[in-house]
Amino acid sequence: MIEFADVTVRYQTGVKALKDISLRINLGEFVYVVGPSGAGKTTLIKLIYLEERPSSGRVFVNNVDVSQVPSRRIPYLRRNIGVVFQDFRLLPRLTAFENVRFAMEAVEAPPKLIHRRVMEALDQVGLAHRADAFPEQLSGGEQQRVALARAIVNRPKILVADEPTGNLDPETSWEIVKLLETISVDGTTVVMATHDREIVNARKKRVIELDGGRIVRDQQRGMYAGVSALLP
Amino acid sequence: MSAHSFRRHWREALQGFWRNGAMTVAAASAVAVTVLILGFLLALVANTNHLTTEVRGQVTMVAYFKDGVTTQQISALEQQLRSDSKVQEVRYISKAQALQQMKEQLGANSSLLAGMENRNPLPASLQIKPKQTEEVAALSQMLQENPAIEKVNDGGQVVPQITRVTNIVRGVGAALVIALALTSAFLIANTIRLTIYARRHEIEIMRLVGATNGFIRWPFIIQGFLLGLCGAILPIVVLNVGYQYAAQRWGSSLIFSMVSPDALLGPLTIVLLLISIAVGVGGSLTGMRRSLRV
Repeated sequence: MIEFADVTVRYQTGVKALKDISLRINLGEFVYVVGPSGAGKTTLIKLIYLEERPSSGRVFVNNVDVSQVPSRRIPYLRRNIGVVFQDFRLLPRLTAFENVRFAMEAVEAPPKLIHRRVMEALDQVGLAHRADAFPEQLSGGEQQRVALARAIVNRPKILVADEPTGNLDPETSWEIVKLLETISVDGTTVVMATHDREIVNARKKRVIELDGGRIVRDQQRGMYAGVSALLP
Repeated sequence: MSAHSFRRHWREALQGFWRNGAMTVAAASAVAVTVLILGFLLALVANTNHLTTEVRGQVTMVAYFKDGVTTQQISALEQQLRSDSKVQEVRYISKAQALQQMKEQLGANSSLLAGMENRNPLPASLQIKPKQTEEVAALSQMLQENPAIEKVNDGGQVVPQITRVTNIVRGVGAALVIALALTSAFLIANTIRLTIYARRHEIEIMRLVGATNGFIRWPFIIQGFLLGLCGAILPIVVLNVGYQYAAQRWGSSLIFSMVSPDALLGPLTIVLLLISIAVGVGGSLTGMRRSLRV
């Protein structure tokens, strides 16, 4: 569960990235966040994975008021949140298997559990057979799937993705989106910021549209552009 | 911390060395130079302290009597000194004894003094050992005021001189060592910063998946610890071997004795190890504070 109550984010430069945002995303929901560049999509995503704090208003993630939480607790709260980026952010010296394992080691997961869970995660994204490949030996889509396996290996309740298909061709993008949807069906909340008009229009999920830091539309089974934009 | 994480932190720390070889060597060398100079100075100070104590134990004042003083006057002063709390020991040297001593000192040339027995020019004296060197001045003052006393030789000038030299050595040494220690810590901090930079992507991923600050920091703390330790080993060996050699070669032939290697080297090694480790860990913490946003 994610809840924003009158959230404003003001950067030190004085620019307001988000203005009075209120929204609620339920457990297991799949949400697209759309809008032009600079609309505040990335800031909204960062608030969810606790990289950013609201200047005013309150943010609840998994029922914790993260606007109040002390810094030292943040690592523990992040363990319930998986993150995927446009540029994959895999470690080039590590194999696919090691990249995924890295996420479990970093949170000091029991060593006995690690091997099995890593293989399960790789299997879930369809890359078990490429476990020993290094990132440079993998295609863009495969790299993003490894990143996805890394994001889910600690079994987070929320998965956020910031333009995960931005660097991929349309066909590969579909694979990634389908994987994200599968993950959401298993009960994980998925929030995906995207520019990809085709995907949003085809999947008919909830769409939150931002513009100039404000929510201009929040629609179930939405399209990339709202009705108003379709009218002449 | 689990055994698994413990091993992992050490592995990461060692990898940090291989990836920044040149910087690692520079930082460890700086520690080595610091430890070498610090160790040398500490050994020097230990020996000058030793010398001061030795000399202090040997300070003896001599009060010479005027010619023609009576035995009553002499024994009165002797009694007075014996009951004085500042005085450890008093010995009376008669004119005859003084002449005898001089003869012994001259040895083969003692014939120079032949015939002096009848008109002995040497004065009778009291040899006085004060309890504390600091009391020499007061005692000397008191003796000079006594009408039976011709002259006082207070023999205490050596100690302040040694103390002055020791203090200069200490002052200059402390300044030098502090400057070097800061340089070492700075170089270690830089090494850590380079390692952090080389690992920034890993650190970013660790933060994203929820690694604690402690987990992220441990390898760097270990790295600083090892830099301090590695830098200290070579100079400590050099100092141990060098001091043993010096003590063996000159220890007994100098006018004063050196502190024995057994008494000095154990504590010195421990102090140097602790200081270099403190410099290493301190440098590492400084390096992290600036560049590890956690």
